[in-house]
Amino acid sequence: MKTSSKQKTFLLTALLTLTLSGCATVPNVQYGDAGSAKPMSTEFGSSDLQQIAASLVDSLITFPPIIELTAQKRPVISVDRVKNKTMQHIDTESITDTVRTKLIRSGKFRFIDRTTDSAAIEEIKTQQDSGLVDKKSAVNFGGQAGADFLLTANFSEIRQKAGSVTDVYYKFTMNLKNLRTGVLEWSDEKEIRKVFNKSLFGG
Amino acid sequence: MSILKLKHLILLALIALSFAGCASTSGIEAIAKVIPGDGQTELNKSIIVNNRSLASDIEITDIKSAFTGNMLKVQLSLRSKSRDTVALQYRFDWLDVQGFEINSNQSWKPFLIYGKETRTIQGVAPDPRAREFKLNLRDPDEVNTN
Repeated sequence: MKTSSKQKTFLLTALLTLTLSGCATVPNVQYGDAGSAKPMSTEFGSSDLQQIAASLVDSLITFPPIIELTAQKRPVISVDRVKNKTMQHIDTESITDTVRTKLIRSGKFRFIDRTTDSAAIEEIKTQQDSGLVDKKSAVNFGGQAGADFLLTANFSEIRQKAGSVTDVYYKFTMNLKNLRTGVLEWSDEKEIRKVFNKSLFGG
Repeated sequence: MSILKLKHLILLALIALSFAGCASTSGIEAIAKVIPGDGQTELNKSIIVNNRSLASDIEITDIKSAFTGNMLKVQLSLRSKSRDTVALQYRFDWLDVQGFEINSNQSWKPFLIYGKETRTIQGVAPDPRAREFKLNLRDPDEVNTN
């Protein structure tokens, strides 16, 4: 009788261990959702990037003067560097890349990418000078389209700390500047607030 | 022997708890289809509740859609039935006229709704082909995988 009850307890413990370990696999690596909105810290994260890009793109393509402007043609935009005024090292080009991708996919705008210009110059030079390329199909210098608009952006943060609470406010402002007139045709901003409360237990 | 029984009970409760920890709960889905050419009329408007506790806090009171330019724009009104602030996450899925999903890499977005408040969620289609959409609402606390 004594042994059987011991055995029972052992079995139950084994079962308990199994069920507990059921949630964790070894090694503990798994694929997550790339679109997850779970904040890990008050630092700038992937969800913040996605929220900023989605909100600004939605705002731009539904702004009435922009709808009018893009109804007949697809204006050409050049993207300026983001002025990063936060305390963090953030790959701001990644934010403007996402904005640009979304805008291109909306079918309303076309873009000029100045970051790949040196490679383009190299390619055109080869086409012109190497003697390998048929002159009739070779691309000439001076044929590229000029941008109608410049997309500029500012990124700032306000960080406050009181006791165990850290409060970070992010503001991403984007402007669309008409290069012919210098007028800002559109502007909008996305605000994000992240609050971290370092609790007494854990944290 | 009675102590042993108690032990077994505790163990069983622990097992049950550990199982409950793995359970994942889906949220609320709102689906609507728009008749091409006329953004204001909707077909097949439906709300699917997969999470009763979330549905007891949040109610979708209105679904609206319109075309701005050639882009489908939608708005859903949410009413909080709770006294407390409810933290939610939402994500739009967009489908074309044939029901194919467009741009499946939509991300979850956080959304706060204060007690007894009515707020709206707006979404704009990623491209002009969208004619149908689905709003997914979920409780961030009940999401296990990131």
